[in-house]
Amino acid sequence: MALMTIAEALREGIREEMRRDPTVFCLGEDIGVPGGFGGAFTVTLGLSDEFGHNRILDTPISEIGIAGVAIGAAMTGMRPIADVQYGDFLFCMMDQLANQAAKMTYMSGGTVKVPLVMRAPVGSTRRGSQHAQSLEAFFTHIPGLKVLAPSTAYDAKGLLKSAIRDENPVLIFEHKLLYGSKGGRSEKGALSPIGEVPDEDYTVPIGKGAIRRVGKDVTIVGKLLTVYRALEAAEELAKEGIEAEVIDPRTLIPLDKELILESVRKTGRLVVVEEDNLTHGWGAEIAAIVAEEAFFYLDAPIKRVASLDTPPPFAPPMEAYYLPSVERVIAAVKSQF
Amino acid sequence: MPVNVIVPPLSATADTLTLMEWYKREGDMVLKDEPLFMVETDKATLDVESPASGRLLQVSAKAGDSIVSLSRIAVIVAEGESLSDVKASPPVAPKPPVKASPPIAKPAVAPLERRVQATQRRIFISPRAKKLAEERRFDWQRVIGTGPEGAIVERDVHASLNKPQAPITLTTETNATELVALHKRLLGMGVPVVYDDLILLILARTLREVPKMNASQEGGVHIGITLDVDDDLPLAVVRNVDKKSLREIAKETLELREAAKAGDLAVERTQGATLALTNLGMFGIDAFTPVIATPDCPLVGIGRIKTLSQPSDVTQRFSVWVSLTFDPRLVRAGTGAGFLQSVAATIENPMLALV
Repeated sequence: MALMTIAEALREGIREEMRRDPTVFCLGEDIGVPGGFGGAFTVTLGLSDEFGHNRILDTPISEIGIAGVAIGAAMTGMRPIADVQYGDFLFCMMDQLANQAAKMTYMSGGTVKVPLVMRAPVGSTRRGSQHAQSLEAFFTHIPGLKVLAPSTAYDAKGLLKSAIRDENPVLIFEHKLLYGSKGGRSEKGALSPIGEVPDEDYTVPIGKGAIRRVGKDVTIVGKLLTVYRALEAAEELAKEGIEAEVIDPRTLIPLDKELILESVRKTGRLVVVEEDNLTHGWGAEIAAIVAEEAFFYLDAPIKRVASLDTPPPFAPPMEAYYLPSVERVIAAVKSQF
Repeated sequence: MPVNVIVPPLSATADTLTLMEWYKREGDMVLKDEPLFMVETDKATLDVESPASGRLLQVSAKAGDSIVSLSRIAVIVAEGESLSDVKASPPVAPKPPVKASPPIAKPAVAPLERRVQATQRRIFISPRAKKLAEERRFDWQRVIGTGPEGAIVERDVHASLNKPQAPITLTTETNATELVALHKRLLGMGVPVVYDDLILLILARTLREVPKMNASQEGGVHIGITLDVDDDLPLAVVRNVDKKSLREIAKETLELREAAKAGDLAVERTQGATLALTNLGMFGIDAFTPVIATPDCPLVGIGRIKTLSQPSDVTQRFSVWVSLTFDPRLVRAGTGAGFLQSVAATIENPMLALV
């Protein structure tokens, strides 16, 4: 058992899988260049020393190229882990992901598999509108993709391993303020949770959520960074006698629906917190599921707390205003009482 | 946020009160707890105080109007926020092009105004609270909501259910001369009925008029009777009394009594009463307060049939005490009183059971 940041846990997960399976390889921009950071957030730092530049493959700055190579390699027997420097660049890859990777298994009647892993950092970290978005909901809407969102070191490594071993294209969203990247890549305002990670091989099953805090009065569902915002809000609310249950689905597709429904049946209240902007978002989907399947257990209107419907602003005060703050979570919960 | 001025549920027997007088006029500033208007209930005239400080707006009832308990009759808007401000703030809907074929778009309604309109005649209750209330067959219309937007939420229903509330017993004495005569005539015709059978018939007929007294969601009329077979007075249930003839009722109560005497009254024949009848006449009791065994089930008590006549009288006259015990949270007092009156009237004139 070792204490690790999420970046370290991901790195160890990649290392172990590459040792275990020679078809696993990484590709991305600046992930293995000598003297580099090991990708934008240090996840692949040092891996080229062990595996060489043929398996830690530096690519040109061409997201369309990265997606094409990764999908093609996956279809022909490899298990690529593609590093998207900033999740925002997934938009460049949209046709290949949505039209090709996600549909290939269906269109080929199951004869073609696309065991692809694509890792994408998300979250607003004072980088302006094109390096700060949370794109999860775009991809949870595409049938054929699995979408993961680990928020702890243990889950990051365990889910990454499950993703690499999965026969389907899997997107892993990672939050920049949770990585715990060090040195020149450390982030202002980062939470960088450090967690225990087993030394032995383990996986976290895809499709199982986790209860991060037990409570009886309200269910708060968050993902990635907003799990921590929800936990912070829960501590504040506890001082006023409101005990919040905080749920981290960990996997967005497939979703551990029953865990959320079970909690709402107990508490009667639901608040969904997400860093994506509000309209037509992931929170709307969670709210709809609960409204459809646990309506008679609800004691108050469902509330969503999300970023505003604008691009992420660059100026720090505006960014702070735009993001779903702890205060907004607290206000949403209180409005239900 | 503006605070609704709600008509308090002041009367135990009626939903409507009369608005006697406003102490403030629309647009006046009022202080919290300051007398705001006067209402008249069926028993008294009372002042109602302002729920908040601010400006009185959207007054929707005037002196002399009947107003419904828990309905909203005005809004108090705090200083600094006014209804007109709120109305002015939303963006104006773009005007449709002059030649547009669909009818002109409705003007944008301020969210507040919309909400006020929606709440005007409705009481909101959360799905969870409603489910709980229905499971407990609890009349939630009178609960005061403390949840979001004034909705009744689970804790409000729990609070009402947990409020210690003694059951109410209403008692009346009625003329039993005709009932005694009917009983005598039926026996003379060879129909083996007891008074309980006649009362069962009367209760079932009266429940048709006052179905709210029947503690059933499904609508079946199943009346429990205490059997005078031993000191325990076991309760047995006659099912679907409203669908049975007097002869069928009499046959069934006889069976139940015999089964109870033999000690083999099946458990299912003792459960599911939607109204209960206890007759202590045979013990020489005039009137008494029955105890509610099952919490939801109203209970009718019958006392001894007393003669009012002197030995010298040519015609004999009789009377009987009838009582009704119920939980006032489940049945309104006025409903109970009306039911008891009907029962008493039908005992006095059993022909009414034929109607």
